[in-house]
Amino acid sequence: MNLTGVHLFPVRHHSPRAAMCLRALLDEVRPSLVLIEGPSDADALIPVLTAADSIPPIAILAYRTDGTPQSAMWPFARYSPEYQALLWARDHGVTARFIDWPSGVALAADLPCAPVAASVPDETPDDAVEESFEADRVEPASEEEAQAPPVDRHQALAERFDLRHFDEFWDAYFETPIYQPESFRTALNAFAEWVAPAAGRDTESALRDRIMGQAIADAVNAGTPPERIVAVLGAAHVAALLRGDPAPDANVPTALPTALAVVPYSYPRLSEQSGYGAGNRAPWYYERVFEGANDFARASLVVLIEFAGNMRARGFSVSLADVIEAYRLALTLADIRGKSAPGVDELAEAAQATLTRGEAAPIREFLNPLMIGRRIGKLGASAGRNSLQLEFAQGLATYGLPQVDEPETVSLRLADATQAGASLFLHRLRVADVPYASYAGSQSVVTRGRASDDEAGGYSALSRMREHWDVQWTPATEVALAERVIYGERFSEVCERRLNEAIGSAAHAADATRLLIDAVLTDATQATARALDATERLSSLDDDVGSLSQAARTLAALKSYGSSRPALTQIAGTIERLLVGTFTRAMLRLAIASRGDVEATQDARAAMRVLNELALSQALLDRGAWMQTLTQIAGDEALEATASGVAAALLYLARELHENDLRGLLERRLGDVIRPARAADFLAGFFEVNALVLLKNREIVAAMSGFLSALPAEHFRDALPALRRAFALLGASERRFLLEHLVGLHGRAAPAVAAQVLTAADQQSLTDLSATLGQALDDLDDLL
Amino acid sequence: MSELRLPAELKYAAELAALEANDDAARPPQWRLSPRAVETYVMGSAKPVGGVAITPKYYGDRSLVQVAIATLASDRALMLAGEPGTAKSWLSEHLSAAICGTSLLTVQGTAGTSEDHLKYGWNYALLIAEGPSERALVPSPVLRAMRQGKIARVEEITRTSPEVQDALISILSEKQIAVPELNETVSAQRGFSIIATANTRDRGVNEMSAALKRRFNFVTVPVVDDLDQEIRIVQQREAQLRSDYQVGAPPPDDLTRLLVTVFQELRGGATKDGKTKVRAPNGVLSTAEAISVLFNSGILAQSFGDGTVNGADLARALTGALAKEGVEDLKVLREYLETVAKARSGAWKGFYAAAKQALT
Ligand SMILES: Nc1ncnc2c1ncn2[C@@H]1O[C@H](COP(=O)(O)OP(=O)(O)OP(=O)(O)O)[C@@H](O)[C@H]1O
Ligand SMILES: [Mg+2]
Repeated sequence: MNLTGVHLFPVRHHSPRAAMCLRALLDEVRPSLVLIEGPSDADALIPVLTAADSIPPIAILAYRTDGTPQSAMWPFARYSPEYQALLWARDHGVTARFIDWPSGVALAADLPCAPVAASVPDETPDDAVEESFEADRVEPASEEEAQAPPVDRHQALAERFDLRHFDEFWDAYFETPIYQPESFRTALNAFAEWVAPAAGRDTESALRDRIMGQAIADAVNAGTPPERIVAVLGAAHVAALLRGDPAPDANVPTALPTALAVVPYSYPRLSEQSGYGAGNRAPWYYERVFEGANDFARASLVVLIEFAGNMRARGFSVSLADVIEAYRLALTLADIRGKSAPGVDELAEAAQATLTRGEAAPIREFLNPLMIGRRIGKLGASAGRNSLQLEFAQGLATYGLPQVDEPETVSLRLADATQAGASLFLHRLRVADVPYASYAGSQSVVTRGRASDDEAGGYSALSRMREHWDVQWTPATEVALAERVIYGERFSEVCERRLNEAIGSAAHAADATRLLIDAVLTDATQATARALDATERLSSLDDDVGSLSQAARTLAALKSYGSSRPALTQIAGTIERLLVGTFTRAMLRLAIASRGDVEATQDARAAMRVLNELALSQALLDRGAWMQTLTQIAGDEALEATASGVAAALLYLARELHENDLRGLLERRLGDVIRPARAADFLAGFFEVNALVLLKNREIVAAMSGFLSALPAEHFRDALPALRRAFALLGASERRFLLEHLVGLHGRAAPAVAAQVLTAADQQSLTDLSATLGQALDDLDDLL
Repeated sequence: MSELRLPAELKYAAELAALEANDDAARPPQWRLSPRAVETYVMGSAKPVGGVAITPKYYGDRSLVQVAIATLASDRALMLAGEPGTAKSWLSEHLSAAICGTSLLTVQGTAGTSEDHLKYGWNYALLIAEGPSERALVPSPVLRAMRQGKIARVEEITRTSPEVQDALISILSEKQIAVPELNETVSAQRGFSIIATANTRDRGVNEMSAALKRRFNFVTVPVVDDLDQEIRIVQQREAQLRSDYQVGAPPPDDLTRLLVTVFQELRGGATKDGKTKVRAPNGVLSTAEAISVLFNSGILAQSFGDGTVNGADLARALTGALAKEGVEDLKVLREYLETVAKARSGAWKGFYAAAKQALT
């Protein structure tokens, strides 16, 4: 492989200095062929990348077409040397080509089982792994990450120069100093040699060295004079070619089938990448640098002025004199550190000392985001866009949804037809698994921390008046849009297919009804029918009371909602039949599920409350049979006591249990001094439902108090864990009733003591739950 | 005995001389050393300079020290702000010693500090005898620093009255002090600057006027929250104190670790593993306080104990320090002993027993 005479130009992938030196070299050499590190099957995309109306950051996206979700991106900023090389070639009518291995091989090499990745891992993180940002790898943990942390030669280098991290080193020694193309090349090659792993390159990188070297040699053999070729490669690859590393003893992985597209990228994402291959702490700032002919001092001043403006807008007093002072401080700092110009670090430190008077928060919250920038790239008209990308863009435009790479909240009132349309659109994106909007609750105002059952596709979805969504566009959105096309040309089709797939693999009635809701929410008629079938099939086999009760609840919600949806009126009869079926099946299995220990009956207890709610609200269901079931569970001492407690409380609250019967039941269950833990469990179950109502009843409190005072000390200890659990459920007002009754029952004229105990306990309950527990118990102890 | 309180420029005269002799980098006007050499003096150097070992003075973030030095090389005055006991005064002393050769031009800020302390006063005997004259004028440290192009230090600036702070504003903006009685105005020589320290626990920080704040660059000196780092600081500073004062006994490593752990856990309101909440005391458990507790436990061991520092010495020194803040803090310590220390093994056992006894 003879590369003599070829201009090998080493780069860091997003470096304004490398881009500037490369342009100078190209102007000087005037090559007739420009070869660039990048997937060799992406040449057809070069005109799209360099179209006059394309605005970086943009990326080449490669995704698998065999149905497995996996993709990789090669992002470009305006100041990426590769991008500048492409532009130069376009402007001079010169051919530019990508010469790295094709995208299908890159994806195959990323798989954990890839033959090349199985060899000795590199000592340094491989640049190629970082340069290609994977939105959804098959396996998140890469080979290197699984190993012990490697010695980071880049970090070591920074520390040798008394600098904090590699990015600071890079700015100090490569970005800020002024270089000629030749001196830059020499310096970067020396650097690449220094950080090269002593153990030799990892197989994957060595294979790529080889492939790119060969592509250059082929170009020479095909007749282009070597001195008319400029090849733009990552510095480590150039160093390997200059050294003439031996051919690796491994085969190139077999390419996976892929499709390629150009997609918009964003500055916030670009800034997230770290390591040598990416290194983009501050894309907006670097772009200012590049546009100002790499004058870092000037770009720093621009940033400081902009930041001062931001600060003023937020009410800080920042004068022009302060800005100048900050600028001078940044220069002096750079000087003290032996740097030729200030960089990101000096800027932040000077701004903090001078503009924010020592406060770090405004730097973190405003200056850093400012330097990162918010830009999202734009594709020119020539970029082919698939039908989903078009439908997505149109949806955003129609519904006025934001396309920014930072979190925003969108609130929809579903009574409004347009906003209901937006909701349908967002639910379709959700079901199509296109990351853009995530459901944030249905309360009338946006609050964080919604009810646990307020889910995007939950049973309550159909009765909502409002929806709040957290929306954020990221490059991953684009990836998904490109990938999902294999499911259909329109989101409605994608939803049908994906729901059908999911319905096919549903194992429980609850899963099927959940998918039924999603089908209804996305207007997927075929999937609705299939989900209904699946519910029918699965519920007749399902033995899980949790699943059955959830299915019943969902069906009940569908039933009440059905009247307002024409598509559902035809199936209203089926829904009613399924509701009765799942409810009855769950009811019959409830007693069996109420055996075992407290943990084992957790599902049964939750199911009992759901079913109870349905039995009381749905005329269709057999209320009498339900109450009988509860009565049986409440009285049967063979069942787990917490479950019995829950059943008893439900009966009492439904007025199906008379006061006297309740008293009898409590005395019997709580009278068990031999097994006090069971009695305490019963009590815990009893309070689990609605402690406040129960504790307002003096009879109940009397029974409980009788139980506790009758307990011998040694049994009390056994009962303690369950008691703690029981009393942990009590809030401040519950405890007030409890204590009032207790004081009344014992006839103690000690209201002052009780009040004092209460306020202390109340305060504690607000601050510290565990303390509350102990405190409540101690109070009880003292009083009884 | 007077040797004990030697100012930095005398105590570290050899280091400073060696740095000066080997410093060929450019110096700002009137500076004794180049900024880089000042940094080396403060942060210490792995290699000796001109055959003299340069010991670290401040243990912490190098970039913070660089920002401080860069500020002093510019037009702005420097404000070192932070929690008590984070080495603000210590840094101020060493910076001024290294930059201008003296750390003694100091004004201590208190509620009673008056404008005279910032500007000048009179020797009234001479004033009455001779009338206003140069001889009768008593210049403040700030005035002297102006005349000589040196650094003046204003400690605890937040405790001074608004009038004094206003006077400082005019000194900093005009860089001169008028002496109308002598019909004279003293203008600052190049090299003049001010290092102020401010305690962020003082209410005064928020009340400092915007006009005053604008005259300063702010450097926040952080509380050390890394356990090993703070142990290192406490160990080294305690050893230095012991050798300066020639009293005390060296504490064993496990007790030093124990003490710093107690400090960090009480300060942070939770145990290091985050599992147990701890009530925080009112008093400030600064690094400086930890150094002094450790040093005191050495003195106790030497004077009243068996000459080696044990858990009992440490417990006594610690309760002594906490008692300053009143009984409430002793309660906090008692709680900590029962909920945290009691369950731990090793050095904690002896410490727990001794501390319990010391508290009763
Ligand atoms: N990071 C550190 N490096 C070196 N010494 C330290 C450090 N932190 C604290 N010290 C030591 O703590 C002692 C007290 O520091 P100093 O008096 O400067 O604190 P301060 O911040 O001025 O406190 P205050 O606000 O109470 O005035 C000094 O002996 C100093 O050496
Ligand atoms: Mg101080």
